[in-house]
Amino acid sequence: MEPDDLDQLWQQYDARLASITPDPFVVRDRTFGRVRTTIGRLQRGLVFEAICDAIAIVFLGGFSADHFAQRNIFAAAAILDVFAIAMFVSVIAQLIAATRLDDAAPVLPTARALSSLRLLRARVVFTTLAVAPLMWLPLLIVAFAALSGADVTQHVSAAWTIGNLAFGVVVLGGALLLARRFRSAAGRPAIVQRILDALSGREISDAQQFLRGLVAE
Amino acid sequence: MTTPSASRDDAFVALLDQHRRIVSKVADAYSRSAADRDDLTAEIIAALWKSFPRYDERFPFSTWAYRVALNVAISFSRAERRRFEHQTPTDFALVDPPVVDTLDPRVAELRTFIGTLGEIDRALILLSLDGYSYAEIATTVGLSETNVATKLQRIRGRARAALTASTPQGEPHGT
Repeated sequence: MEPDDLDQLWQQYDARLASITPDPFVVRDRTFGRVRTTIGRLQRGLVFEAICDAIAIVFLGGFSADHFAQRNIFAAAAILDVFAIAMFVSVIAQLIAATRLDDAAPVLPTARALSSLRLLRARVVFTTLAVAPLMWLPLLIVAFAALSGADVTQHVSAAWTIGNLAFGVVVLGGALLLARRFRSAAGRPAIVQRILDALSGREISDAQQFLRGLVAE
Repeated sequence: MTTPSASRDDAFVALLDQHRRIVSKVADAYSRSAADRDDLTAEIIAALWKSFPRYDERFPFSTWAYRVALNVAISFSRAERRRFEHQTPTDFALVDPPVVDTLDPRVAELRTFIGTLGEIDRALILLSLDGYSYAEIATTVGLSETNVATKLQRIRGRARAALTASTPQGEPHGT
């Protein structure tokens, strides 16, 4: 087959496309400005996360200050506040990277930037999911204090506290183990598959692999 | 009275109408089902419209549109990839069966071959088959001309091999 044959086949295909390509005059009202792109959706999601994190930071900061004298409540709120600040910083970093993406820039640098953003996001999601079970105890202490004003640690034993921390560790270990064990089976809801991919580290390794391929181009 | 916004919309629609097959070709090359392709088509048109105020009229609309379409398609393709990883790449639901029947079967094979390529290689072959020069492709993709030439030689060689391998010996091709 000569190289020209490829071009001739393409011309056949191109000619057929004319009959089925959507007419911009017809689609304008339902498409322009109404459809959100993948990056647009990501940006909106990040803005929403940043707002939630900012609210959490302000609330937990105020809560910590109010309970400065109650050591255990203050420590729990401070731990959650540090976690929220770390989340906020990571979301802002992602948001900056996402807003720098330019659809009209050359394809390869844009793909690399996008891939770096995906890798950062995959790492943040993994860290969040991994740390979340360990936040259970501080969350319980703060929630109890916020709702009833009481310090739950005054009513429970040290064994209860250690048991709850251990419970978080066991949940984390079990979740990581299950995610690695069942990550490749098909037919799951998309959200479940995404959580499994994130927890098993697959999302990170895929993003790393894709980025390496782009850097090698 | 025509507002600046309405005027911009009209200018965009007129340009898009002239180059609308770019959108279809890119959407078709980076999607794996008809529904997926429709979503990607809508995303590309939306991104073109959003980026249009920054379009520099000194440069051809077609190369600008290709660049935007490819960037949107690659981000879409990466986001949707997991959903389709248990499916075969690129079905041929693009056109109605009677229309498919009138096409050379190798067109479908070429499309399938393109669907198996990596995102950047797919962009290179699309631009090359659409007649863009190495220099234009290099500018659009962000590679050197030499790199583009080398890669395209390899991709076209693989395409020819794939089409030859799938054609039974002695069987004439339909036209």
